[in-house]
Amino acid sequence: MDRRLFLRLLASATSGAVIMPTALSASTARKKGGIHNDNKIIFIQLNGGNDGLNTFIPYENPLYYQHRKTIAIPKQELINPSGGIAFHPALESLANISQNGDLSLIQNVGYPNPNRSHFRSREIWQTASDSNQYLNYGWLGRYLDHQYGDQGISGINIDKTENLALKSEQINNITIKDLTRLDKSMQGGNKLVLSDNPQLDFVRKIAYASTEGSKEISQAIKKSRYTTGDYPSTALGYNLKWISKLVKSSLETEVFYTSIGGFDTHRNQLPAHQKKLHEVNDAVYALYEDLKRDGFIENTTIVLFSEFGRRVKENGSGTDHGTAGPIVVIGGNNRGEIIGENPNLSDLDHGDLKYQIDFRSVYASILKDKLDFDPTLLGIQQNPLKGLF
Amino acid sequence: MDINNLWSLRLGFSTVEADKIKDLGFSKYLKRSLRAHTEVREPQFISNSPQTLSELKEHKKGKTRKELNKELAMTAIQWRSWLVQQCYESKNPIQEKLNLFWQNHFVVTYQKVKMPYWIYQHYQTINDYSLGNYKELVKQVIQTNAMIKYLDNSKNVRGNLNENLARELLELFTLGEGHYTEDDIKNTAKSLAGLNHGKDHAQYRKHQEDNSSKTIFGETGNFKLDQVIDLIFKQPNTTYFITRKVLKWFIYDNPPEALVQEYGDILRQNHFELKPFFEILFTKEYTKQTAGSQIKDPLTFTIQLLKGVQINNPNYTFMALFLMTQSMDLYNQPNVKGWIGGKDWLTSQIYIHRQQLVDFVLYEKNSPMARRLVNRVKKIDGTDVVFTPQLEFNKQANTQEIILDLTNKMVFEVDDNMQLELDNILLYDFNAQASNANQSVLNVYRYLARSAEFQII
Repeated sequence: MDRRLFLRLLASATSGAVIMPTALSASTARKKGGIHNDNKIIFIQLNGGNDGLNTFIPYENPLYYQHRKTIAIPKQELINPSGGIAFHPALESLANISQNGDLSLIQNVGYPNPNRSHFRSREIWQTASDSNQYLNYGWLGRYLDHQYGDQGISGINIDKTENLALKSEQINNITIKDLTRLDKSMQGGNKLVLSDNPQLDFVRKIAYASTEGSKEISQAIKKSRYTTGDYPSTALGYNLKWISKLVKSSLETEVFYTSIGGFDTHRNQLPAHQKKLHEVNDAVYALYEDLKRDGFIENTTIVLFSEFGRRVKENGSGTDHGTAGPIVVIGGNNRGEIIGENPNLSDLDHGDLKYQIDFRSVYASILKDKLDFDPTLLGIQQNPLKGLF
Repeated sequence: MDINNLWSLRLGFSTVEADKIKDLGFSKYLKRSLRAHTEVREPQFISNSPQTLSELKEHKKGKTRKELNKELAMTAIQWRSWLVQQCYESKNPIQEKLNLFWQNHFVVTYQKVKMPYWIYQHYQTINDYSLGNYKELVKQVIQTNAMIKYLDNSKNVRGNLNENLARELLELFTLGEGHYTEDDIKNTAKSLAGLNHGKDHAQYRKHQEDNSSKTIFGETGNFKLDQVIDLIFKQPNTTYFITRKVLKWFIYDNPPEALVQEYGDILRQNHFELKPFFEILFTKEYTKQTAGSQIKDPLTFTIQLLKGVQINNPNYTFMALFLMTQSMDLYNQPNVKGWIGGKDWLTSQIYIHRQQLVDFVLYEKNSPMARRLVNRVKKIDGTDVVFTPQLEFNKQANTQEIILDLTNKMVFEVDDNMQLELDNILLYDFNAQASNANQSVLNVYRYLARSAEFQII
């Protein structure tokens, strides 16, 4: 053997570690210690700060109509009224789900010392941090680190950009925009050799995880014995259709994530918000029906949230950044109730709602009740929300 | 990677400046580049765009909404292509890299502003002040009509405040989260109330102004925009905040805090003058081992790839569309925070598309991504996208010399595994004068451009 080649081989054997090929694949995703209970979680993030007060309307409160002379939704247009709260007319199908008892509405969700910046507030929600605490990894990313390490693609984010909620120390989840366009022969994807450069390792792991991961994903979808329902031809509809295929496949992936933008309604709110709610309503209902038909809805929890609600008083034709807002939970055998009181429109903090339920207690409930996981391991100290599951 | 190639990439978009850096010496090259200011020449396609709201009103007459949207979409794509062209053809790439940095700092998007001429003025303002005084730059950019529109300040009037511009001025443009209070924001919003669209730049409208007394950072008075920015610049974090972003944009995905402090102090000592700040910063960093510290942004990736194979007249529309698929849509950041950079530049999807672009440029190999972009270009301007790559290499050189020349330009390091693979692509008995020699060297280029190392600077 050429002496130089020999030295090089020796060097690579000692300085670089070759990861076993079973790592980072999707079908072998397995928890380090826990037992698999088949529960899956789908997060749908409404970007921009969804106006909770115009989504679930406190129509019996005269203050609502006083503060929102231009953008209030007239009483006669509201649907599904119950206990002083009614749905926006665009949410007709979500109202159906609610009548089926499969939808829980959690009111006034937020956190202490709210931050009204999109990015910071989104960061807080995505990392489950305190208002003045900065965490590098997402709460779901930390969960996957704990449960899976880098033993498998256990989270899939269908989006153009990565989501901080899934940002993990180890590569155990992937972000894909388009599942039809997965390339199965990425250069550098067939083996994984690590270096001492974190940026380089990051790129190498992406290649490896997506090559192995996409092989598994397309095989699983191909083998799946289920058909897919009809989805609206919107971006969200498209993403949820893929998520449904993945949920119904043999993949062990536990966490799915996607987002929809356009909720930052500083002006011209009425038509803009209505259009967005329509999109959400149609796509989420398609997903619900699809999962229900094939018996997956009981084990699949769909969560809709936004980084904050909006100011109680309108600013003319729109609303500025606010604080607390609603979370909607669909499926996963939830109790189908309204949790929390109706928004208090007279006791405000700088014109904004005061939160009553900490968002981390919702996370805690999902972790504990659905994923059999102790939330304190992620630094979530809030008690699990009662009455959700 | 050769250090001059490295710094040509860091301060521009490709390695074409490396020879100049080598000939002049880095410090002379840098001095010259920072002082070689070029004015922006108004692009042709913008000449008929309305420049004021009243002209816009006039312009809209007799046109349907659909027509107007189509027209706007067309200018939007022309604008992006034009920007790519500026970067590609620039004689002084650092100027364009800086312009892009500031545009990503003072984000306004085409999609929301919807006034091509205002977008152009925003770019022009940045180009004029990008190497002047940072404080002055902030004052000028905030007063562009594009910024007023993008952050809703036309809706910010006395008695009905809209905090959007005030908040981002403090949070994203100057101080950073955690260095101001909600009251500072409210009072800043009051100071900015009535600052509305004007002829060439924003102007206060008397009946919308708020002339009450405001307290910002503990000082009280009837402050207006200029004074508010003066107050902001007294806050210590102002220079650290921008320094961290500069280090991230040009050198480190994870800039060491000690450097943020060091250069931030230098910016303050120089009274926010940007030329000495950049000169000191780059000169000091040049002496350090910094290769491999940053994930390459899509624009640099694309330009380096094309220039490496001597493509002189690329289709700029195609390039602009490719950047959109890479999540680096020019003047259309996903939100006011701008592109985050670093690990955010790469996902599996984005990396796959990068590899597909390499194959399309070098071998015309089609992929759904490439096909989609080619079809779109055809629809937009009727042209066919064709690349004719040419790789120059020394016909007298041996295998190792050819490989070394390419790796010096393309990858920050060559590990044993890469060396082994390269040795397999270009065999030791390769004949540089053979008829298919060009193809063989192109294979090396392809391997390197698709490697993980090429995604990093």
